[in-house]
Formats: sequence, C-alpha cells, structure tokens
Amino acid sequence: MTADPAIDLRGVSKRYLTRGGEVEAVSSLSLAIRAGEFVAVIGPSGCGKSTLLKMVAGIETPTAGTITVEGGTPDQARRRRLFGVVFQDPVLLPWRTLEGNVSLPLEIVGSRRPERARSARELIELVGLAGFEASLPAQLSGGMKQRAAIARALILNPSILLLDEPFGALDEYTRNQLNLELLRIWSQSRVTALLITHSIQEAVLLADRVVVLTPRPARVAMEVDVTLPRPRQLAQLRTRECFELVGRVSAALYDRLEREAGRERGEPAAALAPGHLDSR
Amino acid sequence: MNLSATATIRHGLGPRLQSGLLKVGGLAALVVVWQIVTATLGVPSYILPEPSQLGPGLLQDRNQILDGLRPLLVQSALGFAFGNAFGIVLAALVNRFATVRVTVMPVALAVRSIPIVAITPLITLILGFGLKTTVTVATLITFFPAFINMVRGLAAVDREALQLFRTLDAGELTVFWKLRWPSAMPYFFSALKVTAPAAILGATVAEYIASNSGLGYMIQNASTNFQYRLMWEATIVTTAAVIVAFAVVSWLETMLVRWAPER
Amino acid sequence: MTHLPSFRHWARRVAAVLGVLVAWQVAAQLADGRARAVPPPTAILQTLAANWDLFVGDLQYTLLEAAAGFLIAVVIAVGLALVFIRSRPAELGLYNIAVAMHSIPFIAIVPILVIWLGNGYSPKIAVAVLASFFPILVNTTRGLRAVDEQTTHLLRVLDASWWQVLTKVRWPTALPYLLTAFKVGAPSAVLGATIGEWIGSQTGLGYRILSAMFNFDPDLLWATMVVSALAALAGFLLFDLLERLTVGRWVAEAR
Repeated sequence: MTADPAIDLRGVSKRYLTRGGEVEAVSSLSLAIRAGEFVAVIGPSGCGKSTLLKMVAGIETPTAGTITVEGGTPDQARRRRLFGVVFQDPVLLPWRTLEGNVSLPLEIVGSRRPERARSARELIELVGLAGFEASLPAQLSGGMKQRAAIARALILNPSILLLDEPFGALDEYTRNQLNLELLRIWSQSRVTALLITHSIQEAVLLADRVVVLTPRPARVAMEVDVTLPRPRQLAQLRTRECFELVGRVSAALYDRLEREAGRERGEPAAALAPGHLDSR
Repeated sequence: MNLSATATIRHGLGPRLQSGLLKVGGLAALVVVWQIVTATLGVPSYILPEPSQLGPGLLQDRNQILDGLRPLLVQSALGFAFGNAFGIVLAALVNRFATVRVTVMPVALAVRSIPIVAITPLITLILGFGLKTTVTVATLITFFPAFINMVRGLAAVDREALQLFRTLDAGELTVFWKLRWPSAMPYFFSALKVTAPAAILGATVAEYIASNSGLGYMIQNASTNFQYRLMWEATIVTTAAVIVAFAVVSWLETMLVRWAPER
Repeated sequence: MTHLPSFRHWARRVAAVLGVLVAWQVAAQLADGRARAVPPPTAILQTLAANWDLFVGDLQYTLLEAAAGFLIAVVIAVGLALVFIRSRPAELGLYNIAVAMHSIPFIAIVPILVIWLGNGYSPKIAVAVLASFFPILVNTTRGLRAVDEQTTHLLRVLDASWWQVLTKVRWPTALPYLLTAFKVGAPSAVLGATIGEWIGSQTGLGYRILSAMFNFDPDLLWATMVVSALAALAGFLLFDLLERLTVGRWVAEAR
C-alpha cells in the first residue's frame, strides 16, 4: 500500500439546478481516507451526505474540486470495479433468487470478470444466509435482504466499500446485529470503507474516524478519531470512553441547533453563523 | 462564477423551455413533413389534403363545421355532466352505506369493463336515433370511471387521519367534506382525464351511426357523399376538441390538486 | 394463499351477474313483448345456438384482423418505448404525436382508412392497431422506467452497459406492465376490428352488428354482442393466464 490516501477529496463542491434556483449541496469539502480505514460520515438529514458518496462512486460529478480514488478518477475506479456498494434499500431484483441476486455483478462483468471474484455461495455463507440460496427476495426478511446486499457488494472483491445508510431502514436490534456482522466481515478483508449514517452510535461502533458534516451545504465541521480498541463489541458502547466519543460527535452535530436554541432563549448570540439570523 | 456558467451551458435554454420546444416541435415537424410530402408528390387531396389548404378550407366551411361542433359539444357536455354527477352520488352512497356497497359494487365491477362504444348499436336499438342515444353513450362512458375512482378515492383515506378525526369527535359529514372528499380529488381527476376525451369520442361514434347532427354524423355523411374536404375538416376539428378537453382537465388538475404526489 | 379471497370475490361477482340475468329474464317475460329491443336472455341464447355457423364465420374474419392489429401494435409500441427510454428528446418529440393519434376518434378515420386501404382486411387491421397501440406504449414505457433510483445507481457503480441494464433489469421490470397492457390491448384490438367492420364491410362481427341494428333484429344484435364480448374476453384471459404463469410469482409481492 502506498502512503497516498485511497480516497482523496479536495475542495469538492456540488451545486444542483432546481426549480427554485441553484442549491449548494456540498461546499469546498476536503477529506482524505487512508487505505484500509473505516470512515463514517454523519450529518443532519438532507445535508448532502449521500451526494458525497455518489460523487466518490462516480455516479455524480462534482461542480468544483477533485476526487481521486486509488490514483485515478472515480469513473476509472468504477470501471476497475473497485467499489462495492450497499444502499439503504437492499435493491434486490424480485424475479431473481438470492443466489441470482448476489451473483448479478458477476454477470454484468461477464468475461471481463476479475480473477479475484468470489463465489456467490461462499459469500452467502459469509453473511449467514446459507440454505436460502433459492429463496426469492419476497420470502426474505428486511435484515436478510440487507445481508444479501452486503454479499452482492463483496462478490467482486472490491477494495472500497461504500455504505449509504445501509441499515437505516431496520429496527435497532437488527441494525446492531448487522453492524456486528459487518465488523466481522470487514475485519477479515480490511477494505477501505466509507459509511454514511445518521446514527452517532453506529458511527462510533464501526469507524476508525467519524467525520461530522454541517447542515446544507455540507462542509467538514469536525473529525473525531475513534480510539476504541478492535475487535469491537457491543459492550464497548457502554464504556466511558465510548460515551465521551458519542458526546463529542453529538456536540459537533448539534452545535448550530444548540446555539440557535440559545438565541431563542435570549442568550448572547456572539457565535452565530452569518446568514442564519432569519432561520427557523 | 464559472460554476453557474457550466450549469447554464449544460442546460442550454433551460430544461423547461427546451422540453416545451421539443414537444411542440414534434407535432410541428409532423405537419411540415406532411405538407412537403403532399405538395411535392401531388397526393390527391381526398387521400391526404395539404395542411396549408386546411386553414383556408376550414375558414370557408366554418358555418357548416360550427353547426356540427355545437351539437357534438352539447351532447358530450350533457353526458359528461350526468355521468360525473351519477358517479359521484352513487360513490358517496356506496361509501356511506354498507348495504349499497354490497349490492352495487359486484354489479358495477362486472359491468364496468363493457366497452360502451362497442355497445352503441345496442343502445341505439333500445333508445332510437338521436339525442337520447348520443347523450346516453357519453353518460355511460363518463359514469364508470368516475364512479369507480370516486369509490376508491373516498376509501383511500389514511387510517390515522380517520382516527384523528374520530378522536376530535367529528361527524360523518365533517369527515366526508374535510377528509374523504379532498382525498378523493386526485382519483377523481385521473378519471376526468380519461372521461373528458372519452365523452367526446363516444358522442362522435353515436352521432356517426345514430344521429343526423353533430360532427360524427357530418363525417359519415361527407364520406358517403364524397365531400372529402369536409370529412377531413370534421375529423380534424373533432380531434382538436378531444385534445382541448384533455388539456383543460389536466390544467384544472394541476391547479386544484397540486398537493397530491404524482401517482 | 391469495386464492381463497379471490375465489370469493369471483363467486360474488358471478352471483351478481346471475342475479341480473334472472331479474332480466323475469322482467322481459313480464313485459311480454312490449320491450322488443330487450329480448329475454333465453331468446338470445336460442338465437346464438341457431346461428352458430354464421358467428363462427364472422369470428374468423374479426379475430384474424384483431390478432394482426394487436401484433403490429405490440411491435410498434415496444419499439417506440425502447426509443423513448433511450432518448429523452425523441420521447418529447414523438409522444405528443402518439397522443394526437390516440385522440383521433377512430370511427372518424375509418372512412379515411377505407380511402387509403380499400375494403379488405387492411382498414380493419389499422383500426385494431389504433385501438390497442396506445395503452401498450404508455405501459411499456412506464415499465421500462419503473427501475428505482438505487437500482440504477447500483448498476452504474457496476459499470453495466445500456444493453445489460435493459436485459437484466429494465425488461424483467417492465414485463408485468407489459402483460397488464396486453390484457387491455388484446380486447381493445378485438373491439377495434369490430368497429372497423361497421363501415364499408360485408363480413365480420361488426358488419353483423350494424346490419342487425339497421334491420331492427334485437335477437341477432344481442347474440352478436355476446359473441364479440366473448371474443374480447378470450383475449383478456389469454394474457391473464400468461401473466399468472410467468410474472405472477414475484410480482404480487413486489408491488
């Protein structure tokens, strides 16, 4: 591995043209992710977190700034099949069996299939779905579908895992269960992982580093190094160290809200960000 | 700065204007090709008249065409109004009274798939030639979609919203006007977008085989009398009426049920 | 598991139709010939049985026209839908033309079609095309587009080609939409062919219907109507069966 970051965003901005005019989703954001690092990005909903991930994946292009993924552009990385991606919805094709869904990427790559590709059965077993290979998505529970999505993301043996609120639609119990699974799978492969989430606890449990974004337009408000030892366990969520980390992330995340609430109560508004005097 | 510049270049004239131009452009291109083909190949006007001659022709025949358009519009409008009124009232009854629902719905669901246009000869046989038949055809064409969609719309009330109204001790009438009626509007308008054009189409068909007035009759009469120009003009005006009816209803929909998510 | 309620559903509907038929029969008997335009169901059945050969002859023409029209409509509509999803400008430009074609009252253009295509099969086939084309176009386009955003993103990340997206995702996604459209389109083609026979024709169910109307022969008119209804129903049932056999397994749960 080189010293160069696996994913490097420099001064990235993204503006959209909407009916109501131009909207700035991301504003001169810089972020470097080392190879093998697990980074969680957290921010208020609608702040442009997902846009960030889509730009890294090469699905959207930044309006300004550059993104480098393993020495090339996101588009090149995409063509080199460096990415494995899991969205909030499992996105399983309802007419395919579990195995058919997991092996979809293999079919798409076709004869250009990389040697490092893994077998669908092996991955289905890895995510704990052995025995369900022939099931249709409609017969699987929400958690099982999301496991299938993880297996599909891993089948081309990607070096970068992009996770866009992967367990956001699941209940808390299932979510924690899958988080542990994800940790186990990740620790075996040690790929670079970029997780978008809105759960502080999830971010702290999984990541080496938590990046807190500001409300729209997204900028890096704060970065918190997660010093919890690995391998991680749920029990660590109840340690003092973890409480402190959650507290720091939470303080960064709710900073503006708290200041605005303070202003409402008539407290000094010295630190107010300009342009937000009329918000609320 | 250059950010907005790239945005403007990418979107050219602005997406809405561009798509508007393309929409109109397609039809305009069709007319231009039609004109060129008919003019250069010397196609006889009874096979395909030149678009450029349609305008002057229409102007010349305007009294005749208007004499046909008026009954067509009156008959379609009457049928459209009756069909919607019956449909709404019956749907409200079905919604309110379980006994009505149980007796009416199975029959309605079985009967609604009958294509009304196809049974026009039957209606003619029963009601005879003229106004009664044309209005009945337009009424029946309007009734079923209006009724079915209103039944669905009135029932498509969010359960929690209904519970909210119950906890506020709202009466049946309040629930109907404040909750069910507005919830049903998107459904009603999707029915209208079908029925407004269909009522005119149905009336045209009925006029064609069972009337001696209206554009439908005029098309039939002109074609049997080899008045091809008049036949073409009547056809085009009828089509235009159908398109205008659809456009008006669509416009009303965007004005009145703006809140509804696109379905 | 879904069979029981649907069976009860159908049973109720059949009961409703039977009830209407019985009431009709009783009413017609009571009217005792005063409402000649509405013969009792038994009289219609008798006419149907007595003229069976006549109807079979008519059916051959009408069904041939309907089938040809339907096939042509499917080819044009699916082809156009593929163009639409490939090119947004093409869709914007062509869709309104399709709407305009659909807005022409097809009875109104039968005389024009007769001028163009003569008195044979062709104008009837053309009406069948016009009658069934539009719903197929609309539904196929919608179906090919019904791929949700995240699936699209997934395929972009996998760098799937347009063709792969079409064959692996869009086409299977569109299949249920397509079959729904066929269930509407096939009866419409029968209907279109029948209406095409109303004018300038000496054969087919449509010709039989109009001549019965003008000769004031209620029994024959009603019986022919029953035959056309059954023909249209057969078109519907054909694709309903096909739907159950193919996409039925996963589509019910996917929606």
